[in-house]
Amino acid sequence: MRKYRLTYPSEKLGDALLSEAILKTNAKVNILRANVDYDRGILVVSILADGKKEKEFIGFLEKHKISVEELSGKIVKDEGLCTDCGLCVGVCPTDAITVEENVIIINNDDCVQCNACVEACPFRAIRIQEF
Amino acid sequence: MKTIKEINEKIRCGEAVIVRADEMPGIVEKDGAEKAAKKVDVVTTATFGAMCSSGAFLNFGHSDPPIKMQKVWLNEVEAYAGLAAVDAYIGASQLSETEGMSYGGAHVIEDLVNGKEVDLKATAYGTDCYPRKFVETSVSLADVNQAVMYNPRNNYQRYNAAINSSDKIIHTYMGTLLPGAKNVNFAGTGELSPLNNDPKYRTLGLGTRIFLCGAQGYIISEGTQHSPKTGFGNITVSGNLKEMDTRFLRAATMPKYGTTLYIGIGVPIPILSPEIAQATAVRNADIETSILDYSVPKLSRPQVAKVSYEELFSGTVEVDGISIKTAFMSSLRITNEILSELAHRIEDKQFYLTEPVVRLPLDSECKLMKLREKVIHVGDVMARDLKTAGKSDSIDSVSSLMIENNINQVPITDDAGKLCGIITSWDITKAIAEKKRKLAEFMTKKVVTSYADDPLDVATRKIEKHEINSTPVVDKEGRLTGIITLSDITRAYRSKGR
Repeated sequence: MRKYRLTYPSEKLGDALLSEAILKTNAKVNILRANVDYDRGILVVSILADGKKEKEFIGFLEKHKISVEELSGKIVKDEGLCTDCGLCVGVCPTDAITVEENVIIINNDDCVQCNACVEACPFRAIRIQEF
Repeated sequence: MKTIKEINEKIRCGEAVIVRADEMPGIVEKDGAEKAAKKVDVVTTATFGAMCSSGAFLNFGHSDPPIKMQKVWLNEVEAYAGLAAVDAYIGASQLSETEGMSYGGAHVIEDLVNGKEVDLKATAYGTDCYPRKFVETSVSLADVNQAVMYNPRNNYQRYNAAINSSDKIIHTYMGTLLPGAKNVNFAGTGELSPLNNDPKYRTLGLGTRIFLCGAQGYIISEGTQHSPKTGFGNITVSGNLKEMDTRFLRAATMPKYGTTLYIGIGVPIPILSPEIAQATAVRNADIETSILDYSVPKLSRPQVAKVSYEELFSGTVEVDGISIKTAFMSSLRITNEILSELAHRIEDKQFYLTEPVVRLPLDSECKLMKLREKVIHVGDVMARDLKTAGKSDSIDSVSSLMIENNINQVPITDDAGKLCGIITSWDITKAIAEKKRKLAEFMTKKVVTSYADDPLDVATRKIEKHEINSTPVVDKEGRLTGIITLSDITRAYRSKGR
């Protein structure tokens, strides 16, 4: 299952393009995060479909001027800086951070890269690592 | 009954029985307090958490020609220098004058303990005996004569847990609190916490030797705001900064709140009697605390629920039937490291127990500040004679209302008098530019509001934080009762001479 960041330009915000893409390609899509700003909208989705449908789905959106990028980075904690306090656990919207045997574990499969943990960490121990 | 002398003798012979605080409930349950007190000599307790009321005295040595430092900065963080000539106190929560919240006194202390050099800058007025008026150099822990950590308020035996019931994110000394009561942050190590294991202070007081951030430190006295009657006892501790280790001392920035120092403290409790053994058998389930609503920016925050540390540590708590995620602000991983380090030092005969010279008081209470002037509330200052409009009113009538009354904002209410939006003169300008005509289309719906009984300082903070010019005042049912503007606030403060 791959995750993508879809960026809508402001003039496309009123269009139901995601629904159209789903209906057209029959791909199952899970919306993980949605932010709408005055100048753009961002959706983070995971696509549960085979490679062909996934390609069609992305192709449709790109044809309608929506930029599609795969979320390639991952959240990492700096072991030297992290004290294993749990302040990141509380702010994570997808419960991707847990405490196991008093140590913070980040599960990147569940992460939607919203940055909440990065901002909440008092030790600046968490960051998004891009590949 | 045992004595501390006897326990120290056992330590010397390598015969002392040392047990972690969380092993004691099982031992006392199985053997009874009497037998447990004979069997166990020392119970180790510890905590590692944010302790803002921390800092260090530094003596820089005299320069030649000498200076009587009046103001001192370490890496641009001001330290207090109103002590003779070359002594200063660097406090953990003082912020850098150039870096703001990302660097503070806590970071200066951490850098020093890490062996780094920090910039020292000092100014003075110059005297016959101290002619120098300015000095700038760099210092490390090796350069200073003394570096003594002295923390006036550390190691609270428990702490209130924090929640935010408002609809906006808030940033507090309890960390980031999500809107809509989405998370509960809590601190303190519960059954492992030193003061919870000796709540009658039978073994704790001036001169009790403790593990302090890797050094051998001491309890000096009760901490400031020590409040044992309400279960909020705390201690003042001191130790040699030069012997500390950043495994047990860490600088932190609570986002959008400020800097603080995470302090590691370990306290060995000598098991002198069955009563002391019984006290160390405390469990997380026995230790209660309150979840307080930190969205209320007053000292008396409403209690949302009462919970035990067992519930808090379980990862979720129930509030009004809803399960809410809990997050621990302290660190159990490092607390465990302190417990084993302390036990090793006792086993290795590097750490002996001491008898307190004066025990901590059991009856002190924490008073509030006496204020000379009456607190001004929003209701004292707000305008009650309101010009309002309804959602179906025209843009023209709202514009005329503003011009005729010389106002910049008009609250929009429904038929029941409840606030449903606000329109400012800027909204009107924007609506005209965007060719919008219906008030409902362009009014601000998420309005920042105040209550009449909010202190004026609270409303001022809201106005500053949201960069707005006014806040409508509503009652508990959401009905509009007034409005308070920036100019009302300025007028009120000016009349008070602020």
